[in-house]
Amino acid sequence: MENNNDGVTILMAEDDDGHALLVQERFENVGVHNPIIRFKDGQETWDFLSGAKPGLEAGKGYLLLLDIRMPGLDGVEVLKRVKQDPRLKSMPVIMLTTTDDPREINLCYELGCNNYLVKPVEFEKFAEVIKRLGLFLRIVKVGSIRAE
Amino acid sequence: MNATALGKNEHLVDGKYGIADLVDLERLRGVFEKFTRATGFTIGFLDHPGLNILAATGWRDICTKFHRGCTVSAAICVKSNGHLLNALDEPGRVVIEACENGLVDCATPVIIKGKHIASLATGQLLLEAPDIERFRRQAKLYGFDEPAYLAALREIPVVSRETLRDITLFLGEIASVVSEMGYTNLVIKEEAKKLEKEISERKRAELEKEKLNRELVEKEREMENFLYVTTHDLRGPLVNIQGFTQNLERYTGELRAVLARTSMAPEAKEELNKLAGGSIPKALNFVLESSRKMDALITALLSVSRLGRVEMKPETVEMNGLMKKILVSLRYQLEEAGGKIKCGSLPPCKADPEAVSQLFVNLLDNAVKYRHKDRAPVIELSGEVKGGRVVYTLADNGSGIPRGELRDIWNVFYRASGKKGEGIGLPIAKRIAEKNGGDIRVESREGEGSVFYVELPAAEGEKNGEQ
Repeated sequence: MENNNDGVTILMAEDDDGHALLVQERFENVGVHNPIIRFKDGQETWDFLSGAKPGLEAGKGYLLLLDIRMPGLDGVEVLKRVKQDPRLKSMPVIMLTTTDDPREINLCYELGCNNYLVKPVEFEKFAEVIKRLGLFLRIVKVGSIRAE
Repeated sequence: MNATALGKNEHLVDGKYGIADLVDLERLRGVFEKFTRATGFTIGFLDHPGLNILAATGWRDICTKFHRGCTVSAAICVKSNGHLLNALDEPGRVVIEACENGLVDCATPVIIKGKHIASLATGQLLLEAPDIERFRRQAKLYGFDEPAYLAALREIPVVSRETLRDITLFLGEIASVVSEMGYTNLVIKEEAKKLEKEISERKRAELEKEKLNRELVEKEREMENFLYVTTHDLRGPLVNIQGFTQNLERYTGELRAVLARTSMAPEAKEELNKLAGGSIPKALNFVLESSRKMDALITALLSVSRLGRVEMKPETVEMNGLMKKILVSLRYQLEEAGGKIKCGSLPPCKADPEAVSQLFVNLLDNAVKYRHKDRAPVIELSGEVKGGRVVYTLADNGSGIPRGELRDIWNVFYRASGKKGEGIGLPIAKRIAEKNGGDIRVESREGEGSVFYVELPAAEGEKNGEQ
């Protein structure tokens, strides 16, 4: 069982190609080189998580990055489902948002997200946040998905 | 009513009421019958000018069986009646007249609001012993059975002129009083109907107003939601513009570094350096600056829409404590500007504490930001309770607001000439005040300073003049 961060796969649900690329680049720029699997919307993400398609590998660590606003199944709904699923609920979830609107942020915390990330506005600011997130990644014990 | 014969309604009271509308004829007939039984006096009650008999009691045989029974003599009866009743032109007038068939009648008008609408007649009697010869002639003329006719004549009482006059006046007054009461009744009923209509119209207007208000609230909510969604969606592309422009800046830097260590023809190198070190960064800088500005505007829009959605939770706000906290948070800004704040005692208010805090932060922030360039800012804060409201006064010695801009400063995104900022501090402050049941006003002199008055509901138990 790998519980160190290097073994963690980042799952990113992001409908905007540009945002996805920017987030990935910013991660790499601050030295986070974990593998990233990207999903184009909430449904695709949920299909992967819920096992509708060959998805999560048993015994592997995952971190979920969820864009709040996505067409169809949005990030908040995916977060809800993840936190209600006994198999998934220990997976750390970081919400991606374009604003720091307290209403959204509070809702996500209420639903059990671990942190949130305002999408890159200033390069330096984002790098700083990711560094803090790095710290967070080390602190949070990334849970593994138990084999069914 | 048979008065339509005149074609117009001008003989009617208020142009619409005849006697039958005003009195309960059935009851009046009962009264007359009792009177006739008690006194023996005949009564005729006729509408006017139709001369239809509405009530007739105690009529003598000589009239009913003889005079009215023959077409020729009956025509004389009607003609005499008409002559008599048409002579009645003012209230209280009594006319005693001998009819052309040899008896005496007496009548008085019922006049309501200047309209002669009925007449009360008594009579079919004599004021002195009859001229028997005349009645014999009439019997012959009209073909009556003379002994029977004379017997009927003997039934006719002889009364004094005064008695006849008094009785007639008495009956006329009764008819008038009854008619007047009837009229009053009708008017009251009509007024009541009018009032009822007015009330129901007012109620309808109120319901309409409520409906409009509900729609307004709904529209406002829609508008705020629209603002919220729009600003969120605007942020999406902006993230890409900003993010990738930053990338381009970095790539340009990398390009310059590569250029620096690459050897090539000097003209080509110079040209590339010009592009990578001048034109491209300059262009990117414009894109970045503009997107930053746009980002600031969207952030401002979001905070406006956020305020619209947030519910106010009013509670007693101890303003002295709250202001202390606000001033601590503004200390750095204030010290930097070399400013001073003189804070008097502030009465508590009833409002949402977080929102009120934001309101005063915005105002104080402005007072420091828009200080006069030649002097350090001095801000004076005070407050007093006036009739259930607290008025907080915030006076500064800043650059002031030009008279022509005083109204615009409350508009979202309005910025006073030559001022920086997003132009949302004051609109948000005003919305906060309004959402908490208060208001903000400003007085200002350009070059001297401004005074903001923030009015909020006073905390319970606060009385006038209490400090």
